[in-house]
Amino acid sequence: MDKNNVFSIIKKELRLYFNSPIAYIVVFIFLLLSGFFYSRPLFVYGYVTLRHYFDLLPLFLLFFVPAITMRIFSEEYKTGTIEIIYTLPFRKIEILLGKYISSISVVIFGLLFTLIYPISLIFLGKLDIGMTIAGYIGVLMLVVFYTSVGLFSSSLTKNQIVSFVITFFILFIFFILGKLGMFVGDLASYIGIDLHFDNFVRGIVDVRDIVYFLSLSFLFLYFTYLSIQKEK
Amino acid sequence: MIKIQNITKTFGKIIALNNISLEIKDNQILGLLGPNGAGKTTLMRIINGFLRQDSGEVFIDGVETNKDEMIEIKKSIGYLPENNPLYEDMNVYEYLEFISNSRKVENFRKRIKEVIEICKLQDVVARNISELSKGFRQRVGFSAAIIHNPKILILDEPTSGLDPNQAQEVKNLISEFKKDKTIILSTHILSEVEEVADYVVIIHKGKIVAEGNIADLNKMVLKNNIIRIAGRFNKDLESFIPTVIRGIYQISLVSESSDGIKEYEIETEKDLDIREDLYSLSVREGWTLVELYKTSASLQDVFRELTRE
Repeated sequence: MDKNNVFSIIKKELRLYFNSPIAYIVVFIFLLLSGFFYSRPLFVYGYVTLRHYFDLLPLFLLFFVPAITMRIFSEEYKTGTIEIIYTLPFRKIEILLGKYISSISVVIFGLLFTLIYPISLIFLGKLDIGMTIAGYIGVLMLVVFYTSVGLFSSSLTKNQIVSFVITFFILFIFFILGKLGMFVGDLASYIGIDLHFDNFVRGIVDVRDIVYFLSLSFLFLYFTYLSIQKEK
Repeated sequence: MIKIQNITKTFGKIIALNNISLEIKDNQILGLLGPNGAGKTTLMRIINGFLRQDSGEVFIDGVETNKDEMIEIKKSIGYLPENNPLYEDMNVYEYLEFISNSRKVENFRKRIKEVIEICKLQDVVARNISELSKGFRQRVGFSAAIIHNPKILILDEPTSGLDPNQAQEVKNLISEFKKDKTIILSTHILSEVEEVADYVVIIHKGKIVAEGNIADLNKMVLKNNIIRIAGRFNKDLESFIPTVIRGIYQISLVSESSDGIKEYEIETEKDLDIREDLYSLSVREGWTLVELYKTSASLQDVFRELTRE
């Protein structure tokens, strides 16, 4: 694997994201919604905490991440540029990684703006910094996992809407399993997102939770790799 | 040299290529000719590694393709896909920069400048690709295909959808670039092949139905001589001529104008030229000739003959 090739693809993808209005619009809407849920507890109840914001983030990202990732392969299939990228001297794994890293970067770019929430809270009251950092590590884990699913869905279809829906559907299963944990049993709740993400939000960085997110991400990246080996 | 051995490729139940073998010599300009859906694009995509054949091998300079994603081979190929897909949200310079970086072109800024000059893109360098006309888009695609100065250039329908002037510009670019290059060019426009290619392969329904240089192909189909004669005649040539000249297979009236000029097509034995006889005959009979010529089968006839359903 040649890291210059990966870098070349990252650069191209970021350019395409930021040359078109889609990334800005999606980030803007995301910030608008998350800003509302951040500021409500603060101004209505006077709590200095990011709990509510973190609690809702898995749900927000369920919409935000697929909106970012849906184009990553689908658009290339649709416009035919996939033929350009596959006939350049790249390995498929380099293309996969380049696209993955660039999508994560765009999502993180959007989330960077939300750092204004904890920073403002430091001035407004006594914020638990350790807990916040743990929370953000959890957010990063979510992003890494969600994006891998988004990449996989996009590699399946040339239709961006379908790609969005598949990502949403797969992630929703992981999301809802966590919520229904008490009804559907321990295994389901272990597979679900909540159990693992909640630890981060409560300030606990457990290696097992990191392993959970990273192994799921790896699994979906592997599925994507298999998917792009097949001719479309 | 590109050696294609017994390539077969199917898409579901459709056989796109059926046991095709072909050799393309270095510095040859090969014209792939065939009706739409004949398998030209599939063949090109297999050569450049975009598709994998079901069976058979392709060797480029003795190296089998489809090994380790053929990274090394891809470096020596420049490719202009059919319909010329481009990243619409980039401007021309950004696009060429991406391609040259991906191909690790040394001193890429200088090289981008060069291809911009060759392809006359100076005026649109900073324009978004989505805003370009078809002719400019084609030139952008072409400049991306040659930016790394590849040994092999694969052009899939490079002039389709262009107006005659734009098409001529693309053909000029090809002629400019052809020195020391192997070029594979597909088209269904026959005049283009006659103009550019020095070897022609006609594909039909996934099979090679003919190959050779243009003269060879003409010979294949041109079985009989055809003479055309037009003028004012006082006799019915269809019944008259066979009684005075031997070796006539068929005479048919092609057209008749309102002022009485008739045009006939006369098919004769191969290697028989009856033009002199016809001329003497007209003098003797007092006919006024306006035209008398021998037609040769064009590539178009060859093509029609070979790809007839």
